[in-house]
Amino acid sequence: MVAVLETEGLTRHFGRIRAVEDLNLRVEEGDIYGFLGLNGAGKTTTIRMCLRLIRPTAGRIRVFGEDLRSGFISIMSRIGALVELPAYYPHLSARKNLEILRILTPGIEPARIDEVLELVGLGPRRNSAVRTYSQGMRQRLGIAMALLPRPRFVILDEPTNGLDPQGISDIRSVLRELNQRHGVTILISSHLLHEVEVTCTRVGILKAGRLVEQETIEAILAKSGTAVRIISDTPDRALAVARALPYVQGAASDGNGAVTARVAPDKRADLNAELVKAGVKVSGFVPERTTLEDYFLSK
Amino acid sequence: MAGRVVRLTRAELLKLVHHPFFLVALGLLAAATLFGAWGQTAFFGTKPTVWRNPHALLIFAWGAKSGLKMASFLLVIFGSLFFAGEFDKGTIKLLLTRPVTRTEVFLAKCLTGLMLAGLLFAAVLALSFGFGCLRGELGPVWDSEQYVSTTSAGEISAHAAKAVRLSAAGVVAAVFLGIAVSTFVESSGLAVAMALTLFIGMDLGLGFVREDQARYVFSWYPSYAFETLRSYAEGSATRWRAIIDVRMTWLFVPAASAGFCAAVGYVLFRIRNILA
Repeated sequence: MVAVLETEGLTRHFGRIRAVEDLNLRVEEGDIYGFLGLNGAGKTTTIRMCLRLIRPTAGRIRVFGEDLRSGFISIMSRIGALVELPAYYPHLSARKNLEILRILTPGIEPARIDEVLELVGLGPRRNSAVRTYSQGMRQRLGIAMALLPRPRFVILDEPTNGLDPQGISDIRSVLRELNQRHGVTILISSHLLHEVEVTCTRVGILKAGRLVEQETIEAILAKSGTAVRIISDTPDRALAVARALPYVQGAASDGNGAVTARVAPDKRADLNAELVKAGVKVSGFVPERTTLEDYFLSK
Repeated sequence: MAGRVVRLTRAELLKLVHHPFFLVALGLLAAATLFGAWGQTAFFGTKPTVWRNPHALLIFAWGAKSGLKMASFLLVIFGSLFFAGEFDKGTIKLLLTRPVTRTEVFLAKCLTGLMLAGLLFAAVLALSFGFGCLRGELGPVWDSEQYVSTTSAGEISAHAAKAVRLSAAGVVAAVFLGIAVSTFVESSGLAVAMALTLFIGMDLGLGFVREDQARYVFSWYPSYAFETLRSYAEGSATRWRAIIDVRMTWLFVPAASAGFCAAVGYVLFRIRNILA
């Protein structure tokens, strides 16, 4: 697979703070790559470095196989980006905002403006000043700005911020269509783990500036196995027993008297037997599918 | 590169003419110019012993002096908004994630600033000259007290042309002062406040120094040029300056100020990380 975005030893320090440390990211062509991490994990800093908004302390960034520094103009003509909050000129309409971006990017015909506005559902309000828009509409405008230049690679930092469920679903459809029909590679940084799970093909998990996981969604879910929900009158005891077993990949109390343990399907019966042997009266033993959220929180 | 700078400049001009302050600024400029040209006679009266009717270039000098002061303020404000306004709204990310370099963005902003300075400068001169022609007399400066022509039409026109040339660079330098400030301040309000404080402070400081020392401050030139033209156009009885003795070579002061501010702004913009 060809790497659309590749970083080698990417590092950024802000004084003593190590925002990003020795990051080796690889986004392959055709990926919808979910970039996950807690607040302050370094996701936005990484994205800013990949767009040359911030200079790295160390490391290299290659986009479409070209060095970002030397091939900046050629690279940026094939990239669309939405970094953190959408930026816009509030006194101008959505059309005028996009017209400014159109002027800056060669080869975009004026009709493309209406096309992207229709795509993100802003068609009826295209001529209203952006300051009159709701937060969700501004977010849609930000996505329209990223998609305007018909990019081959789209970087979206929290693209569904402020969108209602319908809006989230609409944007998910747009992104899937772009990826599947037009072969656009997409990098999405998001906190909405369910969204990432149903939209993305691969994820990278960032923790305290370091990449702790980079894998396909299927592989992650397969690796993490399935979970069982254990209901008993002594949840603390059940938790202790589950945690002590080597084949249990993780166990946590849900706070409602139940314990969720990640365990492979062929080890469920063993777990149940161990609980009974330890004197835990199991009143419920419900197999559950592990989600990306479970996996992310266990990292 | 030239093509990208042209595209960026087009985008900058589109933003500028749609800026909510743009029309307000033109209104303020027109008001200041007309107030200077007309208000001088209306509120402070003329000096009837010196000339019979105000010379058109006298009204022009009043209007231009007042209008160019306002133009300088407005250019400092617009200059301060060029980068700080983009940082404020986060739109600098939009510009810098397009296929353009920072140098090109900076050049386009400077070009837009120059065009704006040219527009405001031309508007002030056209308005004050037009008003002067409507309300005053053209021809030689006529001293009614001594009933002699003190300055020929050719001479006073040459003085007016020199005043225009002498004042242009000082007005242009104002926009670069704003640009320099706006590259290191992320809030547009703070940038405007800082740049205006600097400019007004510099202007007030001129009152405390001798004229030969004031020549080292770019904002001195427009006022000096038109104040001197005024003294010529009033007639010999009130002429208090012997001659417009500032040679054109002195224009290196405002030109160097503009260059210095542009260089500082460019370096700051190139090295800064965009966290907006």
